[in-house]
Parts: sequence; structure tokens; C-alpha cells
Amino acid sequence: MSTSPANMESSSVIHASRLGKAYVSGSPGRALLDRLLTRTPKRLDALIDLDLKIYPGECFGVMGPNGSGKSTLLRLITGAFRPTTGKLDVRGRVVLLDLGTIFNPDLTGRENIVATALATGLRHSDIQERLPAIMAFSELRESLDNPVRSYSTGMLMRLGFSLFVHTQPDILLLDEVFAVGDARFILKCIEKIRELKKLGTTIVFVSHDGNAIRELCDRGITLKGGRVYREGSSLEIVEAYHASLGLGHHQDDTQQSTGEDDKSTQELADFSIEEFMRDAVVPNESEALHSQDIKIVGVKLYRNDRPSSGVFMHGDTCTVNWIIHAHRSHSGVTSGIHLHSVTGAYVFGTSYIHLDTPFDVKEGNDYLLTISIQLLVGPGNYVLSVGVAKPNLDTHSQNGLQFDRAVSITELQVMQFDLTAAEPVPFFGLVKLPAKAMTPLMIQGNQIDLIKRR
Amino acid sequence: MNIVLIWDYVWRNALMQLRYRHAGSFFGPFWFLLSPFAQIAIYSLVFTRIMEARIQAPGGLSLSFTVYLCAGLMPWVAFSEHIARSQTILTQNASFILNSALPEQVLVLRDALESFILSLLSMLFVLGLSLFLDNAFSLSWLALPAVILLLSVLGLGIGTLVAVLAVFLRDLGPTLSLVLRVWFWGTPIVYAPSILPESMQRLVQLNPVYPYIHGTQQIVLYGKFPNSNEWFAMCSISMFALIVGFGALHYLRNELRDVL
Repeated sequence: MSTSPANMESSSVIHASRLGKAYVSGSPGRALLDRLLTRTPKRLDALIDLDLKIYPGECFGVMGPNGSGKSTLLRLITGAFRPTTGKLDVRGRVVLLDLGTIFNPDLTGRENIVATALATGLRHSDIQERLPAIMAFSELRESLDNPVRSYSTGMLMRLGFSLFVHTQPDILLLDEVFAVGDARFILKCIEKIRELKKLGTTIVFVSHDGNAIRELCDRGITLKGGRVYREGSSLEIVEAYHASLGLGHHQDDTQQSTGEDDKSTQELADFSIEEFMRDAVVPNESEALHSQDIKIVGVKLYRNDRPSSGVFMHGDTCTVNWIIHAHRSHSGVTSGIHLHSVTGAYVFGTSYIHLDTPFDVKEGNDYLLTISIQLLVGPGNYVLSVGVAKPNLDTHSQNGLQFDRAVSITELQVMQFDLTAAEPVPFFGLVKLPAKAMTPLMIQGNQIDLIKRR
Repeated sequence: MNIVLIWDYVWRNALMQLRYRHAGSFFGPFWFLLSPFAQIAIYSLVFTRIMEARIQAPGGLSLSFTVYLCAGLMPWVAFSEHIARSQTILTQNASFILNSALPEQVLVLRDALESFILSLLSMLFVLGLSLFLDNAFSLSWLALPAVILLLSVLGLGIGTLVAVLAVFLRDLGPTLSLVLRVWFWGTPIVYAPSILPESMQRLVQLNPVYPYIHGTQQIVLYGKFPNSNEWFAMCSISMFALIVGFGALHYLRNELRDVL
């Protein structure tokens, strides 16, 4: 790694201490009146007590839910906002690229390159020199002679990214820029960012995309509600980000689905459904299947026996817990899980009928089911589905009863690198099948022989 | 960011914007002259043929009136259009302001510079017309760029104030267009101040834009340099407007960016 925070203590390029920013809230007219009458305006905290040091040549990731203060932080770094409290030192020329357009819609792409590059602090002669490289990188070709108002967001991103990386800033701020644009261009951007990093450019990268953060960043922060929720390695902040989202389902949903049956008061030994449901994923109302007799109430993931937000290492044991509720008694019920890749390939599926045995359910009861799988799959994103059904055991056909299906209920992100053993996964493809290699043999005439090993 | 780089940005962007403001239209760069020319034609017709304007001027009545009208109307059009445009300059460029280290001033400066160049160009046409009609060149024409520059500075000051206020008061638009309309008729552009009753004449002189318009009319029509009092008035009004405009921007900068 090119940077080691410990011995570069003195040379941080961005240094925030107890940094805070509060927006004037309420109507603009009111804000004006408050200012004129020197009254204290109503304020809304966007960033609270942030301590941060970013070093030269670092790629620093910033994650967090919407409204957590990510963009505010970037705008403080550019100097567009002044800190309300605390201090912020920024050294060097900063450029910020986001999806809001800073281009003049009347001018053509080519002219906007010049007009905007001037705003980043470059001399006109420098810009002329770099113009061919910028235009080539953007791959916009003839569109560069059309007014920017005719550009799509993807094209605007191309223009902005091409321009900004070629202005050789000391600090490059990227705000969710890869949300648009095609995969190939994004790969090209990522290559370019790596190149800039080697040249010593500091990059602050805001994204909701955990893969992009892990791909590019050394370390970073996850913000939540304007505060630092987690600071650490890119993997740690991605996990914290997923946790901060709570996978999108919260207690409101839980109560909605359990309220009418008043199940939350039931307790099984030292197991509390209420507690289980607190951070469980609740399936949305699924399509009507053959029967509504058994419903899936909630699903929860564990990574190596600890509650997981959905981020896993290759080889981790993923334990899926789910609760079903029987509205009517049935015998010979099975329940299982399905794993699909995000591209749609059915990777794996299993159920109680394969692993254990079908079971009986009694009307009005809840059942906790658990299946563990070892994630011997390639790095990438997968979706997990849970189902409950009653197979027709006589014919082994699919003519059984399907009760409930929670399709794509939660996403699994399987990562390529283990933090401790920084070794790549030793296979290609989607699944690690049991495989073995024999020692290479050399064929000499009619004989084969062991080759000499180095 | 140093002043040289800021200036580089301002003048190059002003030129590009000037060139492309009407890039899509059929008449291209001449469009900005077409609108005032149409106005001039209409006013000339109405005042010289239909209402018979009373202007005591050397030369033929109708021809002089047209030159008089041009001398006042051209700078006014550039001035008032600049102010009218100012109200959206910050809100339209919100993304630019929030994403770059450049101060808001570069945007208002850019538009003021554009307006200045536009006025200068249109005054060239006026002088050409004057030469064609009256056939008289005057040394005082050399003072014209200075008067136009001071008028542009006044526009910059007022424009900046309007731009800042428009961010906070989103319904400023209709009020502003009404004010500009009243202001136009309160300024001796299509009429001569001499036709007004004495009390009104004194009132007109309180109009802050009067010295500039009067100045260009005197230069173009009579070849007269503005006197030292008039220079002093123009300089101090422009400076005052600039201080108020930039002062407001500075005073409200933080709130402005918050509500943008």
C-alpha cells in the first residue's frame, strides 16, 4: 500500500476537526429576514463533529444512506460551504464531480470543456493542450459539437469525468458518478482513478455501491445522520453501510405483518419472536399461491454465527433463519432456500426434504427453521429466496402445494478477498466445485515420467 | 485561485456566452440588434410621423430623433436586459456554485462583461448611423466607452443585488419587470427631458440612470463631453451600486448557498 497513515501524520491533505455544518432551514424569505434582523435562524444539522484525516494519494470512500451528509462533506471540502463549527484544512486544488451539471447548456461539449476547465483553475493554454486527450477519453466524438442540453446523464458524466481527471487536481471528489454510464466506461474510469492515485492525486469517493468502494478505496467512513457511523477499511465501512440501512425493512413493517395475529406476545423457551423480528427481513406481500395456509414471517442471516447485513467472504458459513406461521395444520411440509446470482442464474437450492425430513405444522403455531450453507461461490452479488411447500411425495412431481414464497428477499454480497488471508479465491466462475489436480507428467516416446519440480 | 485565473474564466466565458446566446436562431449574432432596431423603428414612426416629437436639435427633425432614440435606447436595452437576466443567474447556476471553488462574483462579472461588450457593439452601430445621417465625427465619441463602462458597472451592482435577492425572494420576477418598465418610461429615452414640465425635469434628474443615458445622448447627438459634475455623478453612483451589490452578496453568502 502506498500510504501509511501512521508515518504521514503531518502531511494530511484534508484535515477536519470537529467539523460541523448546519443548513439554514425553512423558507428562503424567512432566512433572509432572520439574517437582516440578526436573529438566530432555524438550522438543520447536516454534519456533526466530524474528525477526519485524508492523506495524499489515498482513495477515501464515503458511504451512508441518503441525507447522511456525504455531499455536504464534499462541498465543505471544495469550499462551497463554510463550516458552521470546527475546522477544515484542505491543501491543493480540488475538483468535485457529481451528477448535477455544471455545464452551460447552450455551449457545445467541446466549448464546455474549455469553459469549465477555466473554472477549475487551469490556464487557457493548458486546456488547449489537454483538449485532445479529454475529447478522446470521453469517446463522445461527434456529440462534442452538439450543445450540452441534448446530452443524456451518461454523456454528461463522461464529459465531466474526462474533463476533471485531465485537469490534474490535487484532490478529486467524486459523488455517486458511477450510478450512470455504461459498465465499460466505468471500468475505464476506475482504471484512470488508479492511475491518478499512483501519481499522488487524493480521491474522495462517495458511493452507495459497495463493490465500487471495495474496488477503489483503501479506507473510508460510513456516515449516518451526519455523524461518523464507522471509520475503517473499505470492507468495514461497506458492512457498516449495509447495517446502517437495516436492509431496508424495519419495525414498522414487522408490526404490520405480525400485528393482527398478535404473535409478538408469544414466546418459545428463551427465544423471543419480537427480538428476532427486530432486525429480520420481512417479506413483502407475495403473489397468491395455491394456499395461504402457511406464511413466511421473517428471515434473518448470520455470518459465521453472528448476525449479518449480507456481506460475506467466500467460504463463510451463511446461516439462514426464518419463521413460518401456520394458519392451518398440515403434515409433510418442507421449507427451503434458493440462491440466484443477480444475473439470474439459479446457483443452488435446498430444503428440509433434502437435508432433514418433512415436518408437520399445527394451526396457530410459529416455527423457526434454520439451514446453513457454506458459500463456496465466486465473488459477486446473489439473491436469496425462501419458500415453504408441501410436496407430493407419491409422485415426486411438482404437483404439491405451495404455501408461500419470499422471492429475492435479501441480497448476499460475496467478496473475493479475506481480510486476514489476502489470497484471491482460487477458481474462476460462479461455483467452486470439488476439484483436484494430478502432478503433471511428461510424455517421452512411449513412456510418461514425472517432471522435475522447481 | 488568483485574480488572473478568475479573469481568464470571466472574460472567456463572457465571450463564449455572447457568441452562443443566440447560436440556435436564424439571425445568429445579429439578433441582439434586431430587437432594439425594431423598437427604434416603431418609436421613430410613432413620434416623428404620428405624434410629431418636439426635439430642438440641429439637422432634420425626424433623422435627429432616430439618432437621439438610438443613443439612449441601445445602452438602456443592454442595461435592463442584464438586470432582468441577473435574477436567475444564481439559481440557474446553483450546481456550478456549489461544486466549484469559484466565488459567485465570477458569474455576475461574466454577465456584466457580456453586457458591456454588447453595449459597445451596439453603440458602434449607433455611431455608424449617426455618421451616415449627420455626417459629423466628433472627438467626444472617445468618451463613449467610458460612459458605457460606468453604466455596466451600475448594472453589475444592481444586477448582483437582484441576483442575491432573487435567491431568497423567489417571486421577485414580476416585480422586477414592472420596475424596469416604469424605469424605462421615467428615463428620457423616447422623449427629450425638455418637453417635461419644470418640476418633472428636476425629478427625472434624480433617476440614477439619467446621467449615463444623458451622457451618451449628448456625446452622440451634440458631440459634447460630459462635464466634471456629470463624470463625478456617474462614478459615484456606479461605485455606490457596486458596494451595495457586492456587500449584499458578501453579507448573505452563507445563507445564500444554504437555500440555493
